[in-house]
Amino acid sequence: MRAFDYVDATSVEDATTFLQDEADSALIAGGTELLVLMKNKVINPRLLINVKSIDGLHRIRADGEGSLTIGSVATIAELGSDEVVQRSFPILADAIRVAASPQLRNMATVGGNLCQKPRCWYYRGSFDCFLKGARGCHALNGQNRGSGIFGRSECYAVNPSDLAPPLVALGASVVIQSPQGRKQISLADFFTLPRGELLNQTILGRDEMVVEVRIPKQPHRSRGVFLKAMERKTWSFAQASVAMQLSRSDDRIEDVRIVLGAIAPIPWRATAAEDALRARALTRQLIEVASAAAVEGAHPSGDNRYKVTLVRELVKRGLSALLNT
Amino acid sequence: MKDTVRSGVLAQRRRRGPGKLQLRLNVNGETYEVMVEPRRTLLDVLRDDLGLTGAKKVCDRGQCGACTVLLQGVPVYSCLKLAIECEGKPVETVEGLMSNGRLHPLQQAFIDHDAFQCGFCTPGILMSLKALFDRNDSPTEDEVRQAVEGNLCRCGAYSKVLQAALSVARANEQE
Amino acid sequence: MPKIVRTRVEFEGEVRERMAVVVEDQVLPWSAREKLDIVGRPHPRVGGRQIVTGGATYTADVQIPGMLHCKIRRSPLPHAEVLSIDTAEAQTLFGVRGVLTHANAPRIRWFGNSFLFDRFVRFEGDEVAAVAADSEEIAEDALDLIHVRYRELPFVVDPEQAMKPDAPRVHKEGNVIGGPEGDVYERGNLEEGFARSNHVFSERYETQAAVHNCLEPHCCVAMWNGDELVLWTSTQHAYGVRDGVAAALGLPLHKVRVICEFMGAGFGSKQGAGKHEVIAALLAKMTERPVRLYPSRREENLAGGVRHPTIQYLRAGVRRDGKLMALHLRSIANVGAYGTDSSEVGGPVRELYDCANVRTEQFAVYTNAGPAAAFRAPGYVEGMFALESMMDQIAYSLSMDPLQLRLVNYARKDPVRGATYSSKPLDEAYRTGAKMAGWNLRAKAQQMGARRRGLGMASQIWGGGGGPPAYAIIRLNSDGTADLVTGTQDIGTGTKTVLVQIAAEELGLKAEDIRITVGDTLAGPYAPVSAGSMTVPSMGPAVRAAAKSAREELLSLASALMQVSAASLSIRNGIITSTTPSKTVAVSDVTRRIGDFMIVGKGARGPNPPNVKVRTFGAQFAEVEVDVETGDVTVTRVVAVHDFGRIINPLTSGSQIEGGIVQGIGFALMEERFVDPESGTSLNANLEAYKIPTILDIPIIEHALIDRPDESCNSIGSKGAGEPPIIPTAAAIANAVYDAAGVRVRSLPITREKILVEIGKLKLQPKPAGEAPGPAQKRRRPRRG
Ligand SMILES: Cc1cc2nc3c(=O)[nH]c(=O)nc-3n(C[C@H](O)[C@H](O)[C@H](O)COP(=O)(O)OP(=O)(O)OC[C@H]3O[C@@H](n4cnc5c(N)ncnc54)[C@H](O)[C@@H]3O)c2cc1C
Ligand code: FES
Ligand code: FES
Repeated sequence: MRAFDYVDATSVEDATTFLQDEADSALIAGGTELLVLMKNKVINPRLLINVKSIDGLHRIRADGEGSLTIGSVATIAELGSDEVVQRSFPILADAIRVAASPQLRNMATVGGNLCQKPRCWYYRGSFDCFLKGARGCHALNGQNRGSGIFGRSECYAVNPSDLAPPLVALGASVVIQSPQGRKQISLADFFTLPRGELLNQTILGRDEMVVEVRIPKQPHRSRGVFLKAMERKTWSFAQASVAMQLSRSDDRIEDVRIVLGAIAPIPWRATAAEDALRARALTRQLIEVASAAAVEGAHPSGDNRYKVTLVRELVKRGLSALLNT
Repeated sequence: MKDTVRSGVLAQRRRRGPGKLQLRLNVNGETYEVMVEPRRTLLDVLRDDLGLTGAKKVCDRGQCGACTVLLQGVPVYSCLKLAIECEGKPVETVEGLMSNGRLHPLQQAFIDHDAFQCGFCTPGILMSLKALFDRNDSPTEDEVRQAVEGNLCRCGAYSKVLQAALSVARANEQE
Repeated sequence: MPKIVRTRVEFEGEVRERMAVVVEDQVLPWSAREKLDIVGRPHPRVGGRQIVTGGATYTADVQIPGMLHCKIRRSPLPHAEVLSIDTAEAQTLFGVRGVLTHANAPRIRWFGNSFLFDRFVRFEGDEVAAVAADSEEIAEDALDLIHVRYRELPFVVDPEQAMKPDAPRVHKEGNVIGGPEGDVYERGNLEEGFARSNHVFSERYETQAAVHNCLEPHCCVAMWNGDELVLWTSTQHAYGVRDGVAAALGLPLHKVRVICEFMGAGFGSKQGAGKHEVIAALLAKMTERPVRLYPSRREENLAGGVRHPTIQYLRAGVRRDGKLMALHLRSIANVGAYGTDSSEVGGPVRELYDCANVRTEQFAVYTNAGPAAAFRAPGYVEGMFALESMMDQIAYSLSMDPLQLRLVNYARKDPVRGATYSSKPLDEAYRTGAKMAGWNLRAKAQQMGARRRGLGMASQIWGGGGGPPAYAIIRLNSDGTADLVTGTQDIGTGTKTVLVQIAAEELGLKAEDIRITVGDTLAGPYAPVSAGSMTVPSMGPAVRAAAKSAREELLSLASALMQVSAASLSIRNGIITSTTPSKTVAVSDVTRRIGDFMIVGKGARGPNPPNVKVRTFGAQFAEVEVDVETGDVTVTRVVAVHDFGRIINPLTSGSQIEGGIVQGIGFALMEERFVDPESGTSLNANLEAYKIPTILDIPIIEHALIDRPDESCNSIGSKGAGEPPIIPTAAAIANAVYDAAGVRVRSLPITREKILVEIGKLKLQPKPAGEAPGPAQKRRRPRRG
């Protein structure tokens, strides 16, 4: 790590002002991603702005009407053990249970988790690539077992967050603040394919920060499933994951969101599968159709071909689990 | 406008570093003062500045668990905590596990069950388990496994770690 | 009196005959019926208390006042010529105390014709420069200020490419070690053997580069006391480091002292002097300050060694009844830029089964990948995977029980030399293991939805007999306690504990009254490398001999003091007892009365028995669950039965078995170094992308030990236990995967990707009940002779 200055932010305004004033600065929350990137010299900020010191920013608040507001520096362990999360948004609790390791969950924050960089070996190694402002993607013809099968852009790296798919499936939104002001956008729109000038998987601007994440009340009788496949039984990023949330009325599927993780640069909505399901009754046959639809248009690049099968099976399994609930 | 200028100047004064600065840390109930740069991790301060070498440096990246200590009672990887972030927060390391010259029951059980080989992972594993037993003194096998899933042991002492921890759990149950 | 003999010394699967000075063993082996008090019983680890309290001082923890921190600048390229190194800027950085490059370092030869700091770099990670500074941070900052210009050279990382005549040369001598013929072994007549076979099977197997990833890196601290060098280092061979470092620095041996008290594992990667030790010593000399060198995990993964990746072409000819008629192995081991060819991939093919016609051709090939190093049973783990996968395939295609096939080909004598074994309870291991694992009940395929359960087995053969030279000294203190002084090291295997048990048993003292010194070349006499499963069988008899000599001296003094004949005396638990007349006296009474006269017992390991082959044997049975839809593999149970001769400490030998299996599971299912083919650089040189097993990946492990003293091998009747347990694990798992899912993965690790590809080939046909023939078998028509 190169040397840097450190400051405890006193408020969100304070933090974003620092971001604005010092071009070479970064927010530090849990530090579990930032410090690793700095130790590897992928980034070398001159100022770290600690946001954990901001009063109240770690709070998780239920409004009593079924929605939840999560302060961005709440740790993912705190979120996972929150009663409302466990009761009303179990897919989020399930995702947290299999994310990273206990120690990391105690340190990592929700905001940091959503802002983490891809795990692509080339990006994290000493290769110049698209995400670092150079041309081209080394993974395309290199070791690409971890690369995406959807949402190809100039970069094949997948979004690694385990929190993002369930949060998108729950229709969450994020509140973002910059010295210019505050805005709320849907989490789905927060993520974006890196392309052109945008060398990132989120739309977050240089002087912006995530303040909180809001999860809306889910429809009555809404059910969900989260499944994650890894290279070993724990403490691994997903090879593929699926988060789905589905509500029915009179046995017909009303509302459905299926979000695939670790297979695209963003949490990937399996819209074709959702379309196949909507307004129908969930049956074994429909599950076959929907899981096939989930991988329609998949575009593997070599070593990651297995992800197509894997995603199809995960979707099938997830839907099957919902069949009798 | 006036506001930002003022807060800007004041704010700049709050910046600390990049050179050495004085930090006050609380480790195993003792207060220490060290002079370190902001970039120094809690792990390096413990090991190199305080001579508390129980926590080990293996990956320095949150990938192994050998540096596990308790910060405010919960297990964290001290290689990914800056010392400057830990001011005023109690830190517990394996060196603080004994009390009144007596081994913690987990330490004794580790010896009795041969729950280590080279022992390089042991301080970290003990601290993960200590946090578990502080919350729940008779955990189940699954709970023990989950508490230790963030600690790698390259020698493969896992089954004996499990046995050791469960023996303490059973003893606690019987009390 | 010492004498010179020819003795057969076996190391890492290789048997070499060499001249050795030995002292005939004066100690009769403990017989199987001997009643032992301490040996054979569980004994908690010596040093355990320090480990659990954080008080154990590993090399990593050594801190000397005024100590500097060293960091190494390494090549980012797999192959290049260093044109220039500009260190001016780095030198001026505040806190930098010394910089070393090829320009100012002595020209020390290293690895054949290259140098400590060579003009050519041959893999990503090769040492280019080193800095010593006041702190790690400053040293690291300084590395960024060293400017190196390289001329890139063509490189090769694929061993089969590297064998081609026009491949880029890693070293001048050519890429195939020992020349293009490779290392050939042959017995019988291969052609005839194949001609007389009813079936011939031919397959390609691949094993990966697995990184040792010992948690303690290859670290060291170097300090000069005048013209004497003190070196703390994490090593498997303190004496080897002493000799290597002394040779590199041109020092006489008595000017180098190597210390390694607690050690964070080696697994084969820390067997002798490394560049890091010499660099730290040079910087310490240059700066006149102690220097610590602590490599990062990335450096450890790049340069700390890997298990040789192999490609193996195995051809087997069998008769209809399963009898092996011919075995032909062509193996290629990628040793990286500086590895050695010590890996005996052909070992299992040559010596596991009774087969008259065998040929092995082993190639060890240099490439521009990170260097290979011995890794827990080098060669045999890889070779066993191929051979035992093949045996399983043969059994299924002949509709034979795989275990039965092994018995049909059971070797009663060593097939290589025809020698008899000192003991070979492999058949017993098969039977016991089969019973424990429920082998005979396995036929019915178990299905739980997409999850299929299967059982597979594999055999183990390995050395582990140890041998001379190995020495120990025991000194009795005036209070009746004893110091056992050795030059060996405890690399996490429990050496200290086991040696104390042996000394206590022979001496008749309580174990807690004996203190052992290890890992200090100044204190203890020569001890061999802790590798090749040879520490206990080499050091154990030496310790026992030393204890016996001390005991005899003690008893002769006691007999004078007690006025009884020495022959009527025995010692147990620190009490000397005479039978006629019946009298007792505490050892401490005797030692107190003789005052500061010190009883010193010296012991040496005696020679190995002539004309017998000493081998360890075992069998493992793995039960797995394969999810045929997602490709998930879960090892649910491993049953292991091993023979290490007499078990000194069931607690620590059990730990060795479990540890070997855990590493075997990693090797079978997840571990793999990835090198980018385009740039020749490592992609996953860390513990996140390089996966090793966690506690959740570990099944129920059940083990049984044959625990029968091998009385002819040495005076304690024990053989080594360190390496055998990892040998059969991957093969057993691969065979279990086949039993479960009907897919045979011939390249390790068995990942989800490979399972899904193989299952895709099968078009997801459900596994037929009972035994299914191999899906993708290439059968060759038997040749007629
Ligand atoms: C070995 C290992 C395994 C892991 N496995 C998993 C896994 O299985 N699943 C998973 O989901 N994750 C995994 N992670 C990633 C981990 O969850 C993230 O590192 C963590 O969530 C990041 O949160 P943090 O608070 O530590 O972020 P930090 O490291 O503090 O910050 C990360 C980034 O986000 C920025 N940032 C932080 N907070 C904000 C904010 N409020 N607004 C704007 N920007 C912000 C920082 O500037 C930085 O760029 C793993 C990490 C490691 C090291
Ligand atoms: S050293 Fe901190 S997790 Fe590995
Ligand atoms: S005991 Fe060696 S790493 Fe755990």
